[in-house]
Amino acid sequence: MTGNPKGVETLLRVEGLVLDYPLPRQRLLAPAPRHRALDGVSLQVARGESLAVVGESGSGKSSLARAVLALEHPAAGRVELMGQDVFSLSPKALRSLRRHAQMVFQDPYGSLDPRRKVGWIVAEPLDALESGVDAAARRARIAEVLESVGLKARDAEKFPHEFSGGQRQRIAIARALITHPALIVADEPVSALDVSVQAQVLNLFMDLRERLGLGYLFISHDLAVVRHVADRVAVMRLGEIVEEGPVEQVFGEPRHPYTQKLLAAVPRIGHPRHRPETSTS
Amino acid sequence: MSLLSLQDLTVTLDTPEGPATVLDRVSFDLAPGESLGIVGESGCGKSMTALAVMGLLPAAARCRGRIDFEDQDLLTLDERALCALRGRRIAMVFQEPMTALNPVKTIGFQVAEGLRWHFGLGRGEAEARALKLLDRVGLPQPRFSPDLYPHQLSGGQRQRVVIAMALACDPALLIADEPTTALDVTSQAEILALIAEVTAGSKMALMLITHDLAVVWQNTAAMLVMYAGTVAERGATAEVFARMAHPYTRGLLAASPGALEDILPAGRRLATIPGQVPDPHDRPQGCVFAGRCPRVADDCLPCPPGERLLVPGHAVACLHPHEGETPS
Repeated sequence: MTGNPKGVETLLRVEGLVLDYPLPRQRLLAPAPRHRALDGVSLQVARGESLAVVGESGSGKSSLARAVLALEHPAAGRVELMGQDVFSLSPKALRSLRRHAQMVFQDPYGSLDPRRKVGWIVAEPLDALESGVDAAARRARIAEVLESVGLKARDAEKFPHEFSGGQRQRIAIARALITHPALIVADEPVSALDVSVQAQVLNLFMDLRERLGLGYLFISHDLAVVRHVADRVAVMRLGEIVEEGPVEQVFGEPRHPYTQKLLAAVPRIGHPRHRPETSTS
Repeated sequence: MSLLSLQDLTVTLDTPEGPATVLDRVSFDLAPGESLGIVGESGCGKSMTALAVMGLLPAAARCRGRIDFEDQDLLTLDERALCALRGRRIAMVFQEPMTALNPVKTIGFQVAEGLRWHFGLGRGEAEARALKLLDRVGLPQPRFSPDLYPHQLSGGQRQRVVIAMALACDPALLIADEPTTALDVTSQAEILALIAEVTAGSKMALMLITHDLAVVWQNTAAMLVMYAGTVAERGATAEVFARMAHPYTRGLLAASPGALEDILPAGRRLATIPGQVPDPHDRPQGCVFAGRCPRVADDCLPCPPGERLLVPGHAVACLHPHEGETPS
């Protein structure tokens, strides 16, 4: 319903992104040392495509997610969303661009305001980013997104504490969908969930993508999860992308030694065991 | 001769909403030198089982049954006697190393603390032993000085400190409650290898609690699958994996993205277990899994299924278990 610029195939283009965080000063007058969280990262996400970024903690995955949505200001490099350079836009233009890219966070307990009703939480991006939505249309949009993630329209009247972890993550996804974005940036969206709930939420991500043609920047440390939701994988290490390619290729024939090490560390059923002796208990 | 033996342990929590049954007649034995994996989702009673053995249940908990450890019933011991056991004969590795460690004490102090408390060692001697323990868990001198504080270490290094603390008094039983859930996949592999190394070849028994079936497969000789406070399936790990009999065990395996060898073809979905774990305030009369079970029948509803032996060393609490091999 929102008029996306015509002829744009690439949703997100990141070029040579460098991001530094200042560290505490060692001495009073010394310049503060800096930690390089992103060191020349380039990537692209096309419309309807799912790109996963994997790596260990400290590899810069979450910094990348924040920089892509202009929540951090980089030292160098460009981020283009829908063909527009996000760091050169006016605050007003950036706000209108943000409707096209929304975020889902890791912790469904921390990311929902416990004192607000679900309807208010879900509608917050709409209230902040789109003006001129009347009350009836707003109610209809809330009901629409809650139903699209498998909740009920009347759940809008409840509070977050009335929901389980998996349902809370559905609420967080509904909030991301309400502005009809083209890109969802999901930072470890299932790592706080149990196995069976995790499978339900991953299936929801796959359904929404097929139904709505969403593009994903999917950030995770869990390689097994990534295998099922991504078309392409970028492996990050110390702020750099060391390997990128189609899922089958990166998982089937990893080229970089770091990717090989990551894949070898995943515990697998059927692989050699530390305690193979059997016992009867 | 078993080291730890739980017999019909039932734990009820008194809550403002009424009593909640969090463990329902849990029984198992663990012999010296053995390893037991406990697997299940949140709310299945895994951690409650560990806390019951440690005597660390919340004050509102009421217990029935027995927990025999080295010929004493732990449920009858007073706090003083439990303090003499904790850290000395039974030690625990917790999930989150940052909260398990004291942020304002050095790692050397924290590793030496148990030695000073239980053995009455002097400061010098205890700290000399702490250095050896840090070395054993892969934190060698001089890189990892005992004067470091927890915030100066990475998550995996902190978990090594917690393991050194647990090993300090050479306990008979090591309980590891989700020891790698907070860690990266590479640190996880290293920590699990370390736990396997320090327990294998000694008389130390290991109780490893995890939500990850693959971690159980790799690290323990025997396993329990818990669901809603009950034991759904138990047996030698290889046996259980070869013939998963309980529908819940199969559901867990099917829902694990890592269990599939191949990538799902486009349009396919991961298998899920519909619904949720029942509320402990409102447990169903019959089989606790019946509400989510694809094989549920009329006879599942009146009363909970007893455990029956499929082959020696493999038992399941289900009236309609799967027969034949686990599909892969």
